[in-house]
Amino acid sequence: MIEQLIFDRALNVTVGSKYERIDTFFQSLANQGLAGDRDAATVYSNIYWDNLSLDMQWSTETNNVDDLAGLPTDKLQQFLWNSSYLFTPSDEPNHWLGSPYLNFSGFMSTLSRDKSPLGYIGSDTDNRSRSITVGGGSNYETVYWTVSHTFGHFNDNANIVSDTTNDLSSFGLGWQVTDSLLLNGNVQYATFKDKDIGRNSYDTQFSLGVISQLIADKLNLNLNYNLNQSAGDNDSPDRHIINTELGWTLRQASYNKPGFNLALRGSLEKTHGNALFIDNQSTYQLFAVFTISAPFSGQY
Amino acid sequence: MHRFLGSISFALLLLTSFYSSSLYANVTSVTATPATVTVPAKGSANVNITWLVTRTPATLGAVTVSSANALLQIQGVTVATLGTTLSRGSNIAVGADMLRFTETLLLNAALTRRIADSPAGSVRIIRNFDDQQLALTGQVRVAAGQNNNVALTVRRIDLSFDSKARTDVIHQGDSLRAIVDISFRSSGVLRGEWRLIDPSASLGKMNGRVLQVIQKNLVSSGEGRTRIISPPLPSQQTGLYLLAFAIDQTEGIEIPVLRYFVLDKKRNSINEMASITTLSPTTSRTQLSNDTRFAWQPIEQAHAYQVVIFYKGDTVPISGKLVTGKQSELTLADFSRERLSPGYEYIWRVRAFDQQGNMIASSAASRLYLPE
Repeated sequence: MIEQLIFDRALNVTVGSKYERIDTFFQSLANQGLAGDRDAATVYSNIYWDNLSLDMQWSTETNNVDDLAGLPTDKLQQFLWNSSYLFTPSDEPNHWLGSPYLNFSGFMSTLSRDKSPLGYIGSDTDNRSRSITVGGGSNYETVYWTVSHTFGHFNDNANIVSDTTNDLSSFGLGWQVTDSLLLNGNVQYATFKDKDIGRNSYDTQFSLGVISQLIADKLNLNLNYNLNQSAGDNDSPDRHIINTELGWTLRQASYNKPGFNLALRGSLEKTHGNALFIDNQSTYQLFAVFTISAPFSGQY
Repeated sequence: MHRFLGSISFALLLLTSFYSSSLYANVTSVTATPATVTVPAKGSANVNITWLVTRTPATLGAVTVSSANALLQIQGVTVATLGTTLSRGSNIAVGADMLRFTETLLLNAALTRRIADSPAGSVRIIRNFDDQQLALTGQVRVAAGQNNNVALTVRRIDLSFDSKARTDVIHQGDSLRAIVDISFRSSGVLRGEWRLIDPSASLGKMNGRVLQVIQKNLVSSGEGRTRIISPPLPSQQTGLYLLAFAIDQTEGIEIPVLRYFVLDKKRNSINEMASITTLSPTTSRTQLSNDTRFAWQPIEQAHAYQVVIFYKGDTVPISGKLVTGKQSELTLADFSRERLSPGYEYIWRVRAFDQQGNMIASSAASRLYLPE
């Protein structure tokens, strides 16, 4: 770890590495999902400089750890990063910018044939995958917004599996309308395209949340609505979900006294569409809940 | 003349022999689809094979075409007998007859391991088809490696928050993300969903709302791992949230569920509280005596003040005194001082409480000691 002042800004750098070798036929009862047959080296770093943070990781791994005569050796190389920059809150005349921030993250990997045994008749391995996300947002006194877009590509030069692209766009917004009313919403749109066979699928998410104190410290209302729509060749049923809670605070909890709350909770899930396994199905549930909360403090 | 008759006899013999071989040489070819299969080095594998047996030309009457077993051969040596008897009747009136036999052969883990450790190109599965008149053999060549005909299978889903914990308690508005580590076998498109159950529905058996749909091409050379990071998790509503990463391609594995509880932000932490200015003692390290006076600057809405004393580095008060909000100073009673041991160093603070008993302000920590 390095800590130093660069241009009067504190620089903090952490660098680490990891080496992992798991034999081809190793099995663990404690971790049955352990991916075996890997000889992997990883180098990672975390860099913080003023309002900039950057995490990076590079790894390379090969299989056929036991050097089996009939098994080819493939090499997987991956590089991923995640960076963000938080701008200092804007003063006049740029006050309208709020406290903006930017995100930039990504992932790249290549899987290729390292060694083939003489006379090998199996298929080749040669594919590349990459995904890049750019995003940002800003926080204001009563409003925040966030936006991001992800580009994803997968290319198989050995033509064994299909080449695909997947993109995801999202936009979120929150607004503290009054001290007792908070609104938030989010929209996402995702596409997945199989370029070889021309199959496309589309997913749209929409969510809306309302948190309101109808009577201060007495009566609260929470409401969430979520819509999930799928379309295209991989169609699945559209889903509507509504959750709501009306809570009555009988007594506010304090550090020395327990609080009592009574709540009425209801949920509705409705699916409809042309899926094979679910078709026009609705589920309801309703709860009356009495809660006792007894906060305590261990701080000094 | 004799030579001429001899030539005719030889031609008739050839013709007769040609005719008789046309009559009985029925199985003319055996082909397998696929011609080559790839099996993983680790674990058992099912191999699907379709054998196509062609018989031509027609024979007289019905015959049965059968094959007792498939054989796994490495470098020409049979190492295992596979499958069961395949048998089917064939009766050709005109033209040819094509018989199709489809079977699934199980290669156990020991065999796949042996295949992987054998020279490349030396392994094959053969079947001998016999129509009681002539037998022919077909073959499928076997390679070790990634079987691209096998669908993606997720073997394990590890779900945790980015702090590695599986449960978390946060305050309203705090940021939180989850990470899923997926172990899988083979290659293919993963279709998953981040699903969330809000506090108002977490008691029941709902499927939850979809936070984000993930579709991603996963590739491995046998067994692979991938990591997916969730979108920011909601934290506006107080109560218990449940989070899962649901997928299609499971092999009977359990889908883990994360739990996080969101607390009301109005409950101030000590770092966010108003601070109390202490007036006495003024030294940073006070020697406690009978007449040591603790005094502070009053604050608004204080219903009571409390001087609390801790062992250095501890969080449980061992002594102190509570006074009303009208007072702004106190001295410790004898029995309070007697709870402290000479020679030890202590930390003290003064705290303020409102009418409901909520702590609303605190002073910075200061040191004191009792002389030996």
